[in-house]
This record gives sequence, structure tokens and C-alpha cells, in this order.
Amino acid sequence: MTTLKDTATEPAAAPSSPRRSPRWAALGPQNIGAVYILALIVIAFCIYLPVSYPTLATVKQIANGYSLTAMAALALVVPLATRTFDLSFAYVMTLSGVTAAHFVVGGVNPVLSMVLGMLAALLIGAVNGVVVVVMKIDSFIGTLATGSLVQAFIIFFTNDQIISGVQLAGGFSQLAQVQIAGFTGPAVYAVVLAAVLWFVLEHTVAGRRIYAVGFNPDAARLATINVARIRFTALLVSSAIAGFAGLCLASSLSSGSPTSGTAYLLPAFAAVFVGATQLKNGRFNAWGTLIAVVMLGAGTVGLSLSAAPNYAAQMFTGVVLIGALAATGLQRRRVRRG
Amino acid sequence: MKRILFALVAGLSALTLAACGAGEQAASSGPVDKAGVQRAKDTVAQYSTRPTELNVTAPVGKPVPTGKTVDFISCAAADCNVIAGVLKASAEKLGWTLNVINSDGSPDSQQKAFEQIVRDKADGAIYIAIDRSVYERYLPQLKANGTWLVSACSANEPGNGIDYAICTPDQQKGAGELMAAYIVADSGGQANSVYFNVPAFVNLVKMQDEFLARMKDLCASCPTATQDIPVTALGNGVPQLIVGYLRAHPQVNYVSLSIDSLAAGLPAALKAAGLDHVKIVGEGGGDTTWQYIKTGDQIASVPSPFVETYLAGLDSIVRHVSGAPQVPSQLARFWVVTKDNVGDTDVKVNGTLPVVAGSDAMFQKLWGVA
Repeated sequence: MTTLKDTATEPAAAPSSPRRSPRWAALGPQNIGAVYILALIVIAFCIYLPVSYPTLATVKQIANGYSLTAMAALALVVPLATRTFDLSFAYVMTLSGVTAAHFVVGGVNPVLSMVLGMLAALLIGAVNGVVVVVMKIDSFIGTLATGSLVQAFIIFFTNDQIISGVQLAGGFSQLAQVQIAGFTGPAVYAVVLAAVLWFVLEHTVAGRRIYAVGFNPDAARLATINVARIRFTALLVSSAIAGFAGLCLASSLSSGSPTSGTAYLLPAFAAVFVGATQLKNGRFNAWGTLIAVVMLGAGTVGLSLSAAPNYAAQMFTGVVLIGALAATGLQRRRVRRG
Repeated sequence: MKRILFALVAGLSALTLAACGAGEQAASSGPVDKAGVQRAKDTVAQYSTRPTELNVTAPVGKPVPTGKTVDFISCAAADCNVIAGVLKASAEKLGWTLNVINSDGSPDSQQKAFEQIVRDKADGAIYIAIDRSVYERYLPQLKANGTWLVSACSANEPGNGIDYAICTPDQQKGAGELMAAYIVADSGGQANSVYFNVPAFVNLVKMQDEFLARMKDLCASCPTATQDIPVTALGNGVPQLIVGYLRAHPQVNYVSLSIDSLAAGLPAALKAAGLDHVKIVGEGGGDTTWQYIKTGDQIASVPSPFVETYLAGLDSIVRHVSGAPQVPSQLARFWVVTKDNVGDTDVKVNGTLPVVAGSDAMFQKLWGVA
């Protein structure tokens, strides 16, 4: 599950064609297909909406509007790279948001409230670690179960009511509503987060170990890598990023909604899986994930600018997802055939 | 090659879907209809004061038997939980038992809830926004059990098994009139508005019709458009859909929402897009809405009279089991909440806001259990 490409073919995939230099191969459609799709989408909408689409406002709308989806998707990169699902991340987003909102409305300092929200998220990450790594329950089922428990706790804690109050419109709202050169906080955070993940995964020993665990946990274990510790840490990282995304979400909404995070479950998985088909030839990676989010966002924003019918965005997303993953499948089969 | 082909397909899909939309349009405006603006202001003034009386005023006039059972099918929305609390408190006053049956909003869970009502042999049942096609097959058994069926906020008319219906599309459409009046009054007849509707909520369809009709009536020169929001976008997609529409239609200066929850996150999205001059009016209310009005992020809302709606349903069951004549189904009078009167929303009953202050006590008085 961790990679969309067979482990056995991984080393062979780097030079995609003997006649091409690695630089040209990196720019080929098999490596950055989503960028080509993105370019086509942009060209199509620039032709159809010559006034409103090719503007800086569109760039900002895509960046600002889809930054939370990007952060949610980035939360999944590390656990998926270790062949571990984390289905609880969306509930963790909700939990950190309602926790922080609860304390802010209660008069606690916003920064301290956010710290408490993050602690709640990390606690769930640790619980996930115990369930998946210590108890050896399949991660798909285990994190689904913990997510369900988290949602139950949220309903109990909030009585299924939205936490609101004018206090949330103060300093707390600045976390997500602060603007830097026209881009909101989460848009900047998502890029910084992607850069950090990219550096860790690509340029550190820990990153190599994470991918090694994902490619072949048995081989990694034989290579003296502590597989359990890496998977446990991956779940903690996922919860930490999801918790931060949840804080941004609550800050953006100026409220703590007991169901706000669940809406990000499927879009985040869609983005991270499409992202795995980009740049790294089948590996879950941060920049590929961001490209996928931008590609989906560019199309969706174009459709909303053109006041397309209400089924259009879903249809577009479905077509893009099937296409991207089908193309990856074709690529994988082609590599297998040599 | 296949990726390039796919890219072409994706691009063409986007272009085709976009072509289904309205494209970029210009707005127009004409002379201000001063008489219409004045009528709008009069309407707003009339509905700016919080109602103090129920529409139902006839006492039951007969002893209400104790020990009855009422089943309430709750829904996935947060408000349903609160309503359950309100109904439970009133049922206890009557010496009755109120069973809350949870539903996640899916037809399957709704059918299971009706099965439960059949098993309970409840004296009455109240449910929210469930179409009769879901429970049609249970109607004979419910009738045989003598269960008095109260439909709230669905598009179904009473009759053929539904004993009482409230919060019907016809009763709710008045909120559309108030939203239109508020926009015309606030803009001085210079509004360019768009109404965002969720077609999945079929009980709200007449509210949109009424909004459009009243906008045309009060301000014929005010451009007014509608845009549908898919129910699947509720949660995280709505602000971007609205921002996209507003960017494509920069002349629009008022947004009207068929349910206030569409505004969640919208003020922040508008600010980020430099569209914070656009004013928001909505229907439904809720704590987040009151907060937005207090902070100036939303200018007005017409709260749904949830408390009065469900207590009227319970009142109907009370009258049925007491043998008292039924009273006509009526919603409480509408009320428009703005920054001037939003302080009134701080007073709640069991965690929710009655439109008529003290409406629970008023109903209990009608039942003779105050």
C-alpha cells in the first residue's frame, strides 16, 4: 500500500529511458503528469474565462481555498510512506479544533488553547501507535476504530454542538486568517510543511528508513531498522500535522464544529494518492501531494468561476482521480514489462 | 502518450463542464424603486422585534393523560440533539416518556427508526425532514398501533397516514420574503444579490421562490440570481464555491443563504479573496450565526423557529390523546436578527434559541401543566 509501484521495480525506475537524460525524464509526462493536466486545465479556463481566471486572484483562491486540504493530505504522507493507514486524521482535525475552541471560549489564552489542542491530537497519535504497532491491529481497521472513538468523544464533549463565541474572532482567528502577501496563513503553512517533509523524507537517514519500512518492512527489519518505532512515530507525525490543520480549520471557521474535519477525509486521501504518482515515481511524497491539490483546486475553482452546475466539481474530481491512477497503473505495467 | 491523451480528456472535461455554467456576465441596474424600498423597510421594521406570542393560543381544555410515549427521530445535525432536549423536558412536564431514536440521515437508518416506533407502539412520533417514501410501508402498522404521526420540515402534506405536518415549504417561505426585504432595505434599492440554495433540502424550495418573487416585487431593477450548492459540498467546499461565483460576478454585493450553516468559514474566505464588501444574509440561525452577526461578518439572519415547531408537534399529540380538537398548523412569526437585536439571542432554552421567548412555558400553559 505504501507505494504504487512494485518494490522490485523501484531501483530500475530511476532512469526511465536510456535515450533521455535524467533531467528530461524528470520533466516527462510519466513523472509530472499532473503538471501537464494542470497546464491544460489552466489553458482551458483561460480561454473560457479570459477575464476572471488568468489573474492573481485565482492563484490566491486556489492557494487559500485548498490549503487545509493540502495540510490534511500532507498529514498522510509519512504514515502511508511506512505502509500504514491513518483514517483517524480527519477526526483528529476536529478534536484539536474543538479542544482549542473550547478553551478559547472559556477565556484561556489562545496560544495555550492551541497547545492544548495539539496535545489532544498527539494523544490520539500515541493511541494509534499503541493500537497499530503494539497491539498489531491492521492500521486500516485500527485507525478507523480510534477515529470512531474520537468522534464519539467529540460528541460527548460538545453535546454535538458547535462551539462558538466572539472570543474566537480575536487572536485565535489570526492563525488562519492572517494574510502574508495576500495568502492566508494555512497556504504558507502548507508550503513550509511540504518543504520540511520533503527534506526529512529525501535528505535524512530517518526519511530513508521511512521509505525502507514502507517498501519492505521485513527487509528493513533485517537491516536493523526499528520498524515499530518508525511506524509509531509516523502515526504521531500524522496526528501532529492533522492537529495543526484542525487548529487552522477552527480558526478559519471561527468556531469549533464537531464534524468539521470529516469533510477532509476523502479529498486528502485522493490528493495523497494522486500525489504519489508525481515526481517520485510511485512514492508518497510531499511536493507531489501539493501538485495534486493544486491540480484539483485549479479545476474546481475554474468550475466555480464559471458557475458550472452543482455536479460538475464532483464529476471533474472523479475523472481526474480515475485518470491519474489509471495512468499510474499503465506505467507500472509498462515498467514490469521492461 | 496515454497521459497526454488523459490530459486532453481532463482539460476537455473541465471546459465542457464550465460551458454548462453561466460564463462571465455583466450586471445591470436601473432607477431605484423608492416605494419598494419603503415597503421593504416597513417589513423589516415590523419583523425586527422579537415575537412575544405563539400563534397557537387555544388551551387543550381537557385533562391530559399521563404515561404516554412519544418517539422522536433525531437527525445527524447538531440542532436535532438540542430539539430532543427541549421535547424531553416538555414530555417530562406532561408525565410522558420521550424516546430519542438516533438516525444518521440515511434512508436505511430512518427506516430502522420507523421500525423502532412500530415496536414501541408509541402514542405519537415526531420526525424531521423524512420523505414519506422512506416509511410508507410502515404506515399501516403505525395506524393500527394508533400512533399519531407528526411530520416536521418535510415536503409532504398531511393526510394518508401523516396526521400533522408543520414547518412545511409553504410555512417556511416567509423567511425568503424577509431576506429579500432586508437586502432591499439595507441596500436602498441598489442590491445585486445571489441566493444560494441546497436543492437536497426540498422543504426549502418555496423559500427560494418567495425570495425571488419578493426581490422582483420590491426592487425590480435589482439583479438577482440563484446558484445551487450540492449537499456534498457542505462541510468544506461551500466557501470556495461562493467565492468563485462572486469573483465571476463582481457586481454582486449581497449573498443570501437558504441555510445559515452555508456561511461557516465564508467570512474568512471572503476576506482572503478581497470580497469582504459582500454582505451576507441567511436563514436558520445558530450560535455561529449570532457570533458572525456580533462581529459584523454577517448582517442579518431569519432564525428558524425550531423550538416552536417541535413543541407544536408535541402539542398536536397532546390534543390527540386528550381528545381535544386540533388547531391549525402554524409556524411562529418570523423575526429578523441583526446587529441591533442580536443580544436577544443570548437567552436560550435547553441550549437553543426560541423565537418566541418563553415559548416552552406557553405551550405547557396550554396543556395545563405549567
